[in-house]
Amino acid sequence: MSWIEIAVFLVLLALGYFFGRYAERSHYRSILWREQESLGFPLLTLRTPPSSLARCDASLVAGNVVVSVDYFKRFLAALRALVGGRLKSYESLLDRARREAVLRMKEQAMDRGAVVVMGVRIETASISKGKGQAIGSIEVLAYGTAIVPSRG
Amino acid sequence: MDYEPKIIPEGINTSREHPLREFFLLVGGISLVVVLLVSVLAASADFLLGYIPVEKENQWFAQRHDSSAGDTGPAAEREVEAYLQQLSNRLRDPARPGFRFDLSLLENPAPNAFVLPGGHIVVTSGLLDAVESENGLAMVVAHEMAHQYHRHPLRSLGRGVVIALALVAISGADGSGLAQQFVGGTAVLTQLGYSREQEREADATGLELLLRQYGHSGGAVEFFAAVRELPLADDEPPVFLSTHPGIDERIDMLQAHARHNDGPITPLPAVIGEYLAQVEQ
Amino acid sequence: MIITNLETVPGRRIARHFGLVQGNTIRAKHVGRDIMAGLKNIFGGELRGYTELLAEARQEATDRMVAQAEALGANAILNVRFSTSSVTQGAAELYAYGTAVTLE
Repeated sequence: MSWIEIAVFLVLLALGYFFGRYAERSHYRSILWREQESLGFPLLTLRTPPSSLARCDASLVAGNVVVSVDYFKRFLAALRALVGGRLKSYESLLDRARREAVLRMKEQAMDRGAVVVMGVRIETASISKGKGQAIGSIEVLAYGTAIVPSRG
Repeated sequence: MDYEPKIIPEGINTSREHPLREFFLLVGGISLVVVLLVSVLAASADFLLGYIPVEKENQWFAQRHDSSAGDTGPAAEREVEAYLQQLSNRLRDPARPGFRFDLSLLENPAPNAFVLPGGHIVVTSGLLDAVESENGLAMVVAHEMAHQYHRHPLRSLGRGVVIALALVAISGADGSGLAQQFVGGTAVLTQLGYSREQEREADATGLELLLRQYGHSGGAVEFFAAVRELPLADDEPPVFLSTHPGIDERIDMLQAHARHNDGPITPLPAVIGEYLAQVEQ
Repeated sequence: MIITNLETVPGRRIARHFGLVQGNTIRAKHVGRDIMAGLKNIFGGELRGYTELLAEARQEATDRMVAQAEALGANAILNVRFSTSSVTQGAAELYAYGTAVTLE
């Protein structure tokens, strides 16, 4: 162990902390704003369309996002894994990823002129297997069926 | 379809706690546990190993071939080894019988000496080059002998084994990953404190041995003064990352305890010069 | 071709069932994207390259599922599901499946 190793570790930790925190804040700001914007658009996990939508077109919409965790959070998680308990730093990461994926799906549905997305499903998968059992990057996929009123 | 758009309040799925709070709690808590655990284990290993009679240690770590017979190597090397052996015999503490010392030479330009369990002291050719007098060399040999008188080699070995086992138990056997590195690093830092303490102890006892033999402590700082002049000395790690105390601290300590610094200095025997000339070829 | 993850299409009746159709693809990420991902692993944040890669791959899995359905003569796939799994380090399998039907 030397000065250099310790310095590299501390620099990585600081970079992860400051950039990660900045990114998280601006991402939450964007999520909150977009959620507010599209508040009137309903997303349902129900699988039976309401009877009021008698004759409509249905099409699949999806939104996905791959997020990675910063060095600071990964270090925190590694320590947390020794003592156990809530991994608070990862909760917000996954929360952000899910809401982002849902928003992307919602935006796609709105672009297609849909009135509702039915049967919403959200799936989370860790896409970097191996690498020291650490959750490196996580993909969240949100998909559902956009119900678009038929023209004519 | 009745759809009522409403905003879900934040902070249900996530925590509002500042991440640095969790960071400091975890780092502080885990390093405290590791430092305590390592200290307790190290202290008990130290304590228990002190009860092992030195004769037993000598038996366990007896060398398979008798190096003092030295039928290999050139004549000058054998002569130097015999001289070192005889120097260590003169430095022995008569109050501590049962200790056995076995000195050997290692061809290496770095000025260094170390002691292995069982009293095997190894001196490098670079060290012979770095010291100017027998007194300077005697201080280094006495320092290594003092390590053995305090049973440091066996204790360090035992401590290392016990701590390695404890770390495997805490953080898993594979030794990779951030958590393992952190726990391992903390344990190493704790152990380094022990190592520096041992060096100070060996310096103090070594100086006593030197004083008993020569009646004065002239030449005691020769080796450290030579090491300080090395180009390496510039990128020496900071003291808390090192196994040894800082060179200046050691020179200060030796000078503070020194008495009659101005006694007669014994020169090195001529055979050392012959040996060094051979090594350089 | 109507693709939906619902069990019915509003206002349409199922005339014929063709059973399960599926599409899959396994993609590995390439080195350039991996280097970017390595940096992102320090700073955190979205890995846009991977997002696009997985979206493309999922589209390909869907296309293959649709090709199966077309071969059967269906005009809709109902109750579509996606799944993602990482099979080896650096590669992911994207899988889509559903029920091929003909709607009136």
